[in-house]
Amino acid sequence: MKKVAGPLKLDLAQYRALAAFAQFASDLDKATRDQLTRGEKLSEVIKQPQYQPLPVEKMVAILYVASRGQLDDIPTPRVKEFESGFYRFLESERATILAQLAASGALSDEIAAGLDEAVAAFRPGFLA
Amino acid sequence: MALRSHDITSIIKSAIDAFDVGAETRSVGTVLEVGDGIAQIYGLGDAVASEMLEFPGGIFGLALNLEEETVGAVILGDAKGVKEGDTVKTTGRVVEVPVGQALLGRVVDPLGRPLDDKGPIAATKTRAVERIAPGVIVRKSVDTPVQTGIKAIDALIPIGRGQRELIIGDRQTGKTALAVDTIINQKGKGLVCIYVAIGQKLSTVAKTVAVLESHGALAHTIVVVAGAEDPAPLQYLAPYAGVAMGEEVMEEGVQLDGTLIKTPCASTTTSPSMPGPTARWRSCCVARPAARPTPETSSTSTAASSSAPRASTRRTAAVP
Repeated sequence: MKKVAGPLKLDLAQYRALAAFAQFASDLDKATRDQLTRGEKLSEVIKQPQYQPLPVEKMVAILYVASRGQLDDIPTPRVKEFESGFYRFLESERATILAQLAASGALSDEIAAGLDEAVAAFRPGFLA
Repeated sequence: MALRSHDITSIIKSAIDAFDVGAETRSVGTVLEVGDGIAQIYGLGDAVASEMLEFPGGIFGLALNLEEETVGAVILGDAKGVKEGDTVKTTGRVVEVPVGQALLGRVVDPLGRPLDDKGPIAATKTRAVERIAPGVIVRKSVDTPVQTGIKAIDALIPIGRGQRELIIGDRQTGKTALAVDTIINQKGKGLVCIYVAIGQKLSTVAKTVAVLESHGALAHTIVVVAGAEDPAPLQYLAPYAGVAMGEEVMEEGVQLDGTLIKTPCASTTTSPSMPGPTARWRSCCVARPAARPTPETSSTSTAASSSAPRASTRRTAAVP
């Protein structure tokens, strides 16, 4: 969890700093725009409905995916849908990754690669 | 049947042997005056500080003021049942609460009396509520997280077993919701949760209990309630009672689904929102919370590890 939490905190902090500034600036360079998009998706992914606590492996999975920029081109209103769809996908078709995450509690390179592959497989179906 | 004299004497002899006079020695006093939930009692020369006193009608009191001739006691219950001239007995026990297995899944008041209509509490042990906290040496440093199940907390401001966390926010901002979600998430994770509600409306507490039950979280939770209409000393006792129950789990362990859970126990205390910000204190300390809760604050103590954390670090999580 710490591995994904580190970049997450940084991205969110930078987003917060930029967000107020961006309201006034008219012409933003690409780097800033990307930062803003990333922060927006992260803020959206952090949201959670009441009475639905998540097991840690799902949390790590979705935060890893978000920190790798895989949510950047999903329209913000659909991020929630992506999240629940991704959980279902992991549960049904990549259950081994979830089990590995739950058992080891650490994000090894192998699990990270597995998540990269999983999201690559899930995205086209979702975006279509 | 003819009664022989031999039979008669043996019957009389066994009756004499079985006779037990059973004299009971108790220190008693008489109520001089009662008002504002406080009783002045004449007598009770050997009452000790914070001793539980028994009033007629099963009401208990706490001896707080020990004066030369009188004892000032706070009534832990409905003071209407106590009147001048009533006899008060000492119980020989400093304030203690029933603890142990029998409390899991129940809703009780700070003295351990059941509030949930599920029958009496069959507790086998009681534990004193006031205790000296373990010192620094016996504590272990924090190394295991408490999984709250809430992304924002577990990722950005994680909390460990043995820590305390304060949740501050205006009313209706989701403070209790955070605590309740954490309790729900502890199902099957080997953490016993204690929810202490101080000064809240009983209807609110009832709703929370119903939510916990509907998510199957009540089985590993103890709910301690000192509602808004309960006297102040009872509300004051509530977090200490909760921690005493938690210490029992920590030191002796309880059985949950066939496994002995000894390690952690979580307790959450909440209090009503006053006009303005309400402070909520999530305390993961082994021993009692360091600060005494005032009517405005609520403390949430969660997860003490079995060998006790070495330094109870306090982190403040401001609810944005």
